[in-house]
Amino acid sequence: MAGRMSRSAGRYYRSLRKSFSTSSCLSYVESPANGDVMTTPLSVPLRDSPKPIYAESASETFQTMTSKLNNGLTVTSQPKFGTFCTVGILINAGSRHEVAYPSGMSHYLERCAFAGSSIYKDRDAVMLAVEKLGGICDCQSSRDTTIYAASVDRDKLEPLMELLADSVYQPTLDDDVIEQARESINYELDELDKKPDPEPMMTELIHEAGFRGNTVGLPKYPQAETLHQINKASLQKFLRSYYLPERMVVAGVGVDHDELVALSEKYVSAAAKSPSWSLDGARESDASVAQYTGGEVKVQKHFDLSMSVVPMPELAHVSIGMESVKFTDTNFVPFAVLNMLMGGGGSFSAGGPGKGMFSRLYLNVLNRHHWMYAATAYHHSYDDGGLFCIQGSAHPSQLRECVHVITQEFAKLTNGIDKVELDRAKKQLQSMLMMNLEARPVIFEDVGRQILATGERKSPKQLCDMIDNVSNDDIVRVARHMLSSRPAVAALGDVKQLPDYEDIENALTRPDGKLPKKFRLFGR
Amino acid sequence: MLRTSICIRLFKSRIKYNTRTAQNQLHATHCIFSTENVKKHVVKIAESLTSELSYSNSIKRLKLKNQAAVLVPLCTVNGELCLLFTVRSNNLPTHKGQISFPGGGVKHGDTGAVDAALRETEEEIGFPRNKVDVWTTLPHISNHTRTAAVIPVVGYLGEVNIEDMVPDRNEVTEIFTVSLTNLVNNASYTRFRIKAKKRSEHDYVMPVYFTQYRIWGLTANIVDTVLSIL
Repeated sequence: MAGRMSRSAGRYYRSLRKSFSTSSCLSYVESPANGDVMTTPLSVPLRDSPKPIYAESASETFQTMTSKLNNGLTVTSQPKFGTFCTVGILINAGSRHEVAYPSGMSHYLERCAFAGSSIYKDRDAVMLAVEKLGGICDCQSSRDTTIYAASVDRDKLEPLMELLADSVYQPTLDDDVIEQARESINYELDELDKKPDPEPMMTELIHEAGFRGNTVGLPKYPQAETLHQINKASLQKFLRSYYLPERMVVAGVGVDHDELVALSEKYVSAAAKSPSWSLDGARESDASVAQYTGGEVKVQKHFDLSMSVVPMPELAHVSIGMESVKFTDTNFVPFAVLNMLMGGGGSFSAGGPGKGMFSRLYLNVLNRHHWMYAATAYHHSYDDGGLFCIQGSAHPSQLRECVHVITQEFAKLTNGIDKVELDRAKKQLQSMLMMNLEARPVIFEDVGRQILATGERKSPKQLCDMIDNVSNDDIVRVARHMLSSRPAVAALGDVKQLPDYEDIENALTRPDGKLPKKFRLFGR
Repeated sequence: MLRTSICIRLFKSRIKYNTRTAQNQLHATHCIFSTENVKKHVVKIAESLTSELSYSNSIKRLKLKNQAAVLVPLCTVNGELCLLFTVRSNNLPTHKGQISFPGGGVKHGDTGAVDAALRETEEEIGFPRNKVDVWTTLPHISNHTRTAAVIPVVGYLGEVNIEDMVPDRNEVTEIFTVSLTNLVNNASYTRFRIKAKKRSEHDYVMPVYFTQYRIWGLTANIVDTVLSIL
């Protein structure tokens, strides 16, 4: 009976084959070699298929190249495939150099950038010219660097270099440009005052607390009291003192190095010899090194919440920071891993796993204390010092508990990190680094800033290796080093409940990080 | 606008002096080292400095209990002229972990600043006071808010070996020396801006030395004064 079944099955299949048959189909199914297609698992290559040859990434073609010109200007380029390139000039001038000037010079210059120079009469003309080159241009200033950059079509490099050199070295700084910048800065200062978002203010305050009165502790934004002192003469004095070729780097991504060097010689060096602010005149440049002082800065302020579009709770913000290291220090990478480990963000942050919801400030702080609205770790690092801080936001009545939670988190760091947690933080840092470096403007800024600061560029691979080598001992060591420095405390909002500075300082020296218990009979 | 009092001007000129011409002026380390010659030179300059400076009223008003004295310990290590520093202990109430000279407050029972400095030195690093060759005292060096003033006492300790010294762990974590050439080569400065409330307040410049530990603040002020004399 079985035999009869199989015979009929065989006949069934043979008739199927006949109905589907073309000569190739038959041979495909029936030839013994290709019979393996049906039975070979996907993890094993097919017997007769050609051997694949994988593309090798030749590391030599992706090397950053640097040259130094006779006048001190550094030119650096990073090859990258693509039709567009990003080129710019980075200058070692920022708010940290403004001790002898009214604060906010660099910020003012940022507003006056690309607004009219010897070739292009006004901002519209500059924008039109850049559009013709197929791209966009922008100026950005920070505490220690000012960047003038543009992304354009790759073959339009020469006109772009001419435009950049002209904008940086030959700005006309007309009265109406200066007035417009002043108006926009007034508006910005107003906004900063009224907006409930603490962000730019808290950064200013924690820097002021950590580096009192010097270099990076100086305010980045112009202060209302001294804004009127910024005029064409003082701007030109600042430019004359700091916009020197030896303080500049011309960086390009997606360009040919020799071409970039030749064009820099032709346009940038030439423009540097006779800038619009004239080389004779008063100069005052400052070579101060950043000195971490620690200390407290409190700003008692009432936020007008009726101004915000979204209903916002009333919040007080506090940031507690301690001395970290400069970015050339060997402990810089452990601090970066520490930053990732602490992580944090807003409590209403919607996101899936991998967004950082497993960082310590989420797990131990935001998930446990419903009244904490936000807790974030920041690491600010400069070429001669740094600041690591944790910023928390809560209702003003909970401010003491907020500080308590932060000091306890700091103190826990000396107990060591679990391996899983540490590996997660390292992987997150590496992936964040690599993902960001996929964007050309970010590569440009990375190459430019590294060359400006240190003269050499650590490739992403080198950075990833350095991150891999961070161990638990490194984290504990940097945490101890940090906790031995004097804390910097900044607070904004209704800060009446903020604990005394001495209490916070003592809490950070204790292994459990607890604030002293205050017996309050009549409240504070 | 920067208005300067005599103290600050003297100090500022020392910064420029140090960073540009200090190499030439450190004859004490270059020529054949004769303690007597250097001592005479230092004493002479210190005396002229003291007569030149006029103390501001606020320093004169400081009562004796607020006075402090430190010993500026010049010594030789393997024949090289150095300064000796201490790392303050974390157990102390103020300035934990910072670099300082041995010294402390002038207490009852001390005959003066020199005596206080020598007593504190003996307590903190265990160097016997009778072995210190006191050369001179320098004028008060005050902190920038003029709330405290310290009298530096320049003394010569001779050839020392750090290992032989026993620090008092309650006050001193570590003792180390830095050669004068090392200090000069690693000198830098920071200019501080303050929100001046009175006409007498103005920006000030502080030196900083990046040797194995960062030396800053009042200690760096004293180092700068001493280096500019030598």
